[in-house]
Amino acid sequence: MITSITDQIRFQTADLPPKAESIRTEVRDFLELELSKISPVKRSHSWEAYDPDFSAKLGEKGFIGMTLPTKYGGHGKTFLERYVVVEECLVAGAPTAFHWVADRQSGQLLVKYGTEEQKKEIIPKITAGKACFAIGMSEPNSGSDLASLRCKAEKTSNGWLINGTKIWTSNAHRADYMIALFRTDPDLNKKHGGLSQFLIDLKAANGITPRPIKNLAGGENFNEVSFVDVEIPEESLIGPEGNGWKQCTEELALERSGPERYLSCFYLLRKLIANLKKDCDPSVKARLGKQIASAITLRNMSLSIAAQLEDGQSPTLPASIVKDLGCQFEQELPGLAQELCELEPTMEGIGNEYQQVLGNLIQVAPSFSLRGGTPEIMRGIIAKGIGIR
Amino acid sequence: MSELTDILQDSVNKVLHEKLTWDSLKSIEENAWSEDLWSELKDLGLPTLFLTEEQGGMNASWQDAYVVLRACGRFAVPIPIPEAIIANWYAREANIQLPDNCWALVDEKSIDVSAKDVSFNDVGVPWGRLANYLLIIGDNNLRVAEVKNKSVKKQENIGRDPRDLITGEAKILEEASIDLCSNSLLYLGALQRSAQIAGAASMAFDLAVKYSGEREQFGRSLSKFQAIQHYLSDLAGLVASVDAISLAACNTLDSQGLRKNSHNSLKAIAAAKCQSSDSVEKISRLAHQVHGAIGFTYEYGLHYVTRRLWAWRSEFGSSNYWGEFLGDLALDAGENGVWPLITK
Ligand SMILES: Cc1cc2nc3c(=O)[nH]c(=O)nc-3n(C[C@H](O)[C@H](O)[C@H](O)COP(=O)(O)OP(=O)(O)OC[C@H]3O[C@@H](n4cnc5c(N)ncnc54)[C@H](O)[C@@H]3O)c2cc1C
Repeated sequence: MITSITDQIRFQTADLPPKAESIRTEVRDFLELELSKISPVKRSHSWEAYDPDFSAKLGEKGFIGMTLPTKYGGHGKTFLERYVVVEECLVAGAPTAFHWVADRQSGQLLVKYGTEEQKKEIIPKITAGKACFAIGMSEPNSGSDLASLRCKAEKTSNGWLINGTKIWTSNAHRADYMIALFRTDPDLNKKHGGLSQFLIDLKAANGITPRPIKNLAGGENFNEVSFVDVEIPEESLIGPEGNGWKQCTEELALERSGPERYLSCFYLLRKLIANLKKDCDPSVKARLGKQIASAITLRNMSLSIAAQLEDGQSPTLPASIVKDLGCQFEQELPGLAQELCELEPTMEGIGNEYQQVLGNLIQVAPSFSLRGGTPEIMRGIIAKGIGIR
Repeated sequence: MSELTDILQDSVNKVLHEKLTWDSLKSIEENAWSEDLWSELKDLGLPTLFLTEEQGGMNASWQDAYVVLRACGRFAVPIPIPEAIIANWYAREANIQLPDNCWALVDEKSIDVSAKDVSFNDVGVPWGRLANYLLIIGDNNLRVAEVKNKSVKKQENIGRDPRDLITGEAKILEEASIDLCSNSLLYLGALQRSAQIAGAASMAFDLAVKYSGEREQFGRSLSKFQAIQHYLSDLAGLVASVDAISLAACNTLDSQGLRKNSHNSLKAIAAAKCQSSDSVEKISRLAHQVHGAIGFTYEYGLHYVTRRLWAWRSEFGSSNYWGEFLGDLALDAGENGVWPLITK
């Protein structure tokens, strides 16, 4: 075979342009100052740690909504500049959950599909780090098979009437907005075509009840959200009716392509290194070094995707591959740390920083391969991409 | 990517695809040499691609060379073209012209260079049985030597490529100084093998995908079974990552050279060989699993690449060797230095 299927999944080496690289020091200095007071457990799991104060400060610095158009209060910067900010935040263990979804996907979605009024009202809040978004996709009976969802939106004389239940909705109990996927055409034969996306002002609507679900580590981040006869205005529909699946897929592409897919517990690797002796056993060094080699490899691949996005391409297949590999990498880290270092994982407030970070991450690591689509589903997408499905 | 990269990519893959069928690989394996292939690839200018235009080469970069080295892996090139490419890189660095067919690289430390005529004893040289010249690589200098007499212990690696031990004497023809890091041959060998692994892995993957589409069981092609799809998706990721890191190492070498202070190049090569060697186990295992028994036969040619993958995995440092190298760097860098280590 002269040509290879791998020609479609080649990651050309990309370098950050000086313009992007030059932001790094500024971000690092800011983070060093701001993060010193934040607890190890909170820092351990960056994009799941919620801290409105921190997000507002980051917004003040101009580090949120960087790629959004200046016309609406965004900063009109490149994806690569944003890339530097995001990776520095993750590596430093910055608590980014408050603004994370808005910055990554909701802002962009609104710019593309929102009404002029929505953009004028909401984008400035996003860039200020003062708008928290929730993603209402999953339902009790629709997880991986998302398109089977049943939560419905019916057209009324002056808006939409919502009924049904969403589940696993991160931050729904404290977010300002939710972007949700509902069924607008009850004909289940039109599986994908019957879905539409809506913007819901959680602070304004009546009839929405989020119930936090405690996770195994004791945290309360995700919710079951019930909608009972919730009336929302006509302009809540985002994009054309029936276009929800396509828009969701675009959102998921943003969700799946960033550096958070291998860096979400990099803080642990740093703390592990601080707790290993320089003259430790060669086998320990070798195992640590393999993880470093993987990190270098993933950084190269992830940056290559960012450059492709900046270039206006849509690297769906490469992004799925990096998400899959990245997820394996980070899910392996807590277990690896336990193998290499004798210090036991501890609960918050007991033991040293490394032990607390480890204690939290061991417990939350199973979720790494669930959020944003499971590896089994990602592999199905890859299989399609390489032409066997 | 330069224009030269594209030209090389097309021309080299085309020629190798035509020349290195499973039948021809089998016959070359039986004879341990193909003069015909050697002269054809020489005529294409592959061994000398690094030489400057005045020296008669293409003044290639490592990125250009990468596509050739990878193709050599992909098509299991059973002659020392990659070795010759590296020998000529040294020639460009030292600004000397090598005699024709001078591709056998040896480390100065394995040779007795105390006299004008050097002697060597059981020195490992790929295709050593055919070596008429030696390029002896020291930390600060390069010597070209003509072999005067030699005895050969013929042996092969599990890829069936000659890995001979030679004993004898050689006469120094030329000596030149070079300004490179110590053990440069180890680093370049590791990079060469990473590129070859990337190529061989891509072939193993392509064969598995193709076969899974052709072979039917339970009334459908294997590729329709989810377990097989997941193996192939897994393979796609591993193959892409080996390619990405090996190419990235070539880029770093292009921009930062291989001097005493080229720390980023050494680190990039270490990461490439660590990652590629580590991935070989799973890549070859999955590619074979998808093939069933047919992949275990000599007749079906998957083994031309998988046997080489297994051999190359250990040559010029295993994943553990380079892992320890990187582990030391990480521990020295400490918790605040490890991220800069990864991004630079
Ligand atoms: C911490 C956390 C935060 C989350 N936040 C949000 C959020 O904010 N908003 C939101 O909408 N959702 C959120 N989710 C939900 C997440 O998207 C789902 O968990 C995920 O899509 C999987 O769905 P499920 O949990 O119902 O598992 P299921 O779909 O029931 O899957 C269970 C297992 O079966 C496998 N499986 C399913 N189908 C197939 C198939 N066809 N082939 C092979 N294997 C298959 C899966 O891969 C998995 O291993 C969150 C989840 C977690 C853990």
